[in-house]
Amino acid sequence: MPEFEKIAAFIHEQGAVAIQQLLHCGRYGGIDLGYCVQPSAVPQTLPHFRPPREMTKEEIKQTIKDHAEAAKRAVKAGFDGVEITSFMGYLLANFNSKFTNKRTDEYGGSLENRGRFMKELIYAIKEAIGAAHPLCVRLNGAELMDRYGGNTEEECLELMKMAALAGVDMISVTVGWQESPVSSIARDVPPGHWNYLAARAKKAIPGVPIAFGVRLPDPVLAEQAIAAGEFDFWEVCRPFLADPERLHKIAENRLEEIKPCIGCLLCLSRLFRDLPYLCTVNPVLGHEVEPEYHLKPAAVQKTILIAGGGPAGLECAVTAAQRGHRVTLYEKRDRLGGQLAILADQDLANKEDLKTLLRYYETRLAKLGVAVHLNTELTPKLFRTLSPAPDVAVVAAGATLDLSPWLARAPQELLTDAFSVLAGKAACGQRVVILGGGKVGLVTAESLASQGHAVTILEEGNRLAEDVIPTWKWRHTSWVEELGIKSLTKVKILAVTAAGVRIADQTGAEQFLAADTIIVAAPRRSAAELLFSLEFAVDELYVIGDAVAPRGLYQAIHEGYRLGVRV
Amino acid sequence: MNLSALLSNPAAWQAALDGEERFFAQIKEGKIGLVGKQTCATPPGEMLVWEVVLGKARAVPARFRGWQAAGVELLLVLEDNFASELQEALAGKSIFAAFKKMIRLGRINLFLLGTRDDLLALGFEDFLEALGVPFLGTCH
Repeated sequence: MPEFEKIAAFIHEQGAVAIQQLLHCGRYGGIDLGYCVQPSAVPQTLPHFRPPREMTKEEIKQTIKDHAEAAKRAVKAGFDGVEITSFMGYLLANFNSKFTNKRTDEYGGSLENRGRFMKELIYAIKEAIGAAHPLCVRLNGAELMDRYGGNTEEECLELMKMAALAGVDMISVTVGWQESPVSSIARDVPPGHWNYLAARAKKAIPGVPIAFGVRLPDPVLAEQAIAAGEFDFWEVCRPFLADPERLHKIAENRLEEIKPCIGCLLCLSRLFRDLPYLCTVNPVLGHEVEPEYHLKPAAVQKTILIAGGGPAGLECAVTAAQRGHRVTLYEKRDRLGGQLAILADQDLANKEDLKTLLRYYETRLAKLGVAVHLNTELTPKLFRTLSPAPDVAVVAAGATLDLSPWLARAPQELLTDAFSVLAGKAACGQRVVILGGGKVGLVTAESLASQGHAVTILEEGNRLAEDVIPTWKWRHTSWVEELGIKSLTKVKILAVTAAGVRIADQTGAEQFLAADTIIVAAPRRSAAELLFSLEFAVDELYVIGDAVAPRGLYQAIHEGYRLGVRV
Repeated sequence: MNLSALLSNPAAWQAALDGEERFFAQIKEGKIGLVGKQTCATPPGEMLVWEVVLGKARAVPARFRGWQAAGVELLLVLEDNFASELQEALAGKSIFAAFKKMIRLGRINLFLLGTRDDLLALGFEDFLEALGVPFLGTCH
């Protein structure tokens, strides 16, 4: 209780209303507990969760009492109200859904019976906390579990009406279950896509305020939706992980300073490995109490040169400049963003998510007075001409594709660099073979297949997308199927000729794949040569991001921040 | 031939399983059950089980008596009108490609009756990934 009192008091001190969410995980509850219960013993579809067992009627009654007691404690701790959650496949959703509720007693069967647990919960909690404390319920507008026999959108709406009649003070409309086989919150769903579910609830249940925020990270879009009468309150979850100062920045009309949530779902990828949340764009998340992560004015103002305008260099520049350093950034290309900018252009998902991040950096650099030199590669020669000499040099030059492992099997003139293709600098024939089925190869394949090329991906490893985070891996593999991209894994690439590629499968059986263009998409190699050239030329020298080792966006941004915050 | 008849005819499956044994290569021991949606909803009924030992799969007939008594690590619940595609896949010895596609389309539902640790220890990771199911789960 003392800890909850602290939380409620802190929220009040910041001028906000404190609502305690009560959540019984039900089907998804077997991670830490060692057991998992739900209305009926419907097996899991994701390996992460434990096999469930069916709740007895006594357990149902006890669970309702436990919720009411918990609600009472929440109010006693100082919370203004309580929220219960029937979304994402947690216990309340399990009772409401046809998929997980196969009971034959009064808690199962008809919609009325399936909703009984929810109604009894609402009555019990309302009685426990009294009319002065609001009770909100989060309910699925769509479960996205149709193929498993889940509730239809119409049934979801009926359950909302049932909750309203039972006396809830607000309904939060949500979308999807954790195991839904289609996207709900990832960035392949356009922002605003699900607003219709909230608007429908608003229309059908005019007496109860509707809250909504699923895949709606943009405050401008949210305000427009509220003005249009689609819902009453905008909810924000993951975007707060990306920028906890978001609301203040919105209130102060500093929208350009908001770090955007890019919908990459790294947060959830971590969750599925039983690891604490991290955020790709917010390196401080999870480290808020560690002084090493606190942004403090620099004790000594330094002149910092950053070689490379990819995500690592951009984050480092913004962070160091915020602390008062004089920062200059050199980028050899004609635009900022590095490989991210190139990949973003060809991304089959919502391109704006990644582009918004790049715009955020550009705006911040300009506001913070960072000098940016495009079309300028920071070379040792250029470095020596700078006067006064900088105090710090940061090598953030990223990575390049490494052709060398292929040269024993292929004449160099037959190989095309994937980034040249993605940047539109290299033309491709109709039949394309891509060497490497990681992220670069997949984006290249998807882009070319979308343009009508016949594409084959060859991957010597066991699987495609090994360097892609789990929450996005499935998206690439499904695009591969949808676009008719042929992919061969566990193959050995024997030789590349002007006519195509000769390969061997695991059994040693050889085949020849005819191709007009052969694209190298792996491996990547760090571009850290400058590090060695500058070793005795500058006081402090650092290397960050892919220039350390080719990895992903989150490592680049995190390393950029960790250097910028301490240099 | 309807789905029930197909599932009670292991001989029709064995050749296809033998032709795609690479997908079972990492499984040390385990059972994969196949039932129709109707049987799954109202057991008992016909079930086909792929019994795998050290990467070798054997098709055997069984009875499905509900999830609790299924006795398998994985349960593939097939749409009842899936029989014709299934016969084509069996004839072409391409059941994995067909199953992966049908899972994606929602015409086969995959249920996991073992825990993640058990499935990992039994060597199911590659098998599941081959069916397009990310072993460590995902949230969309």
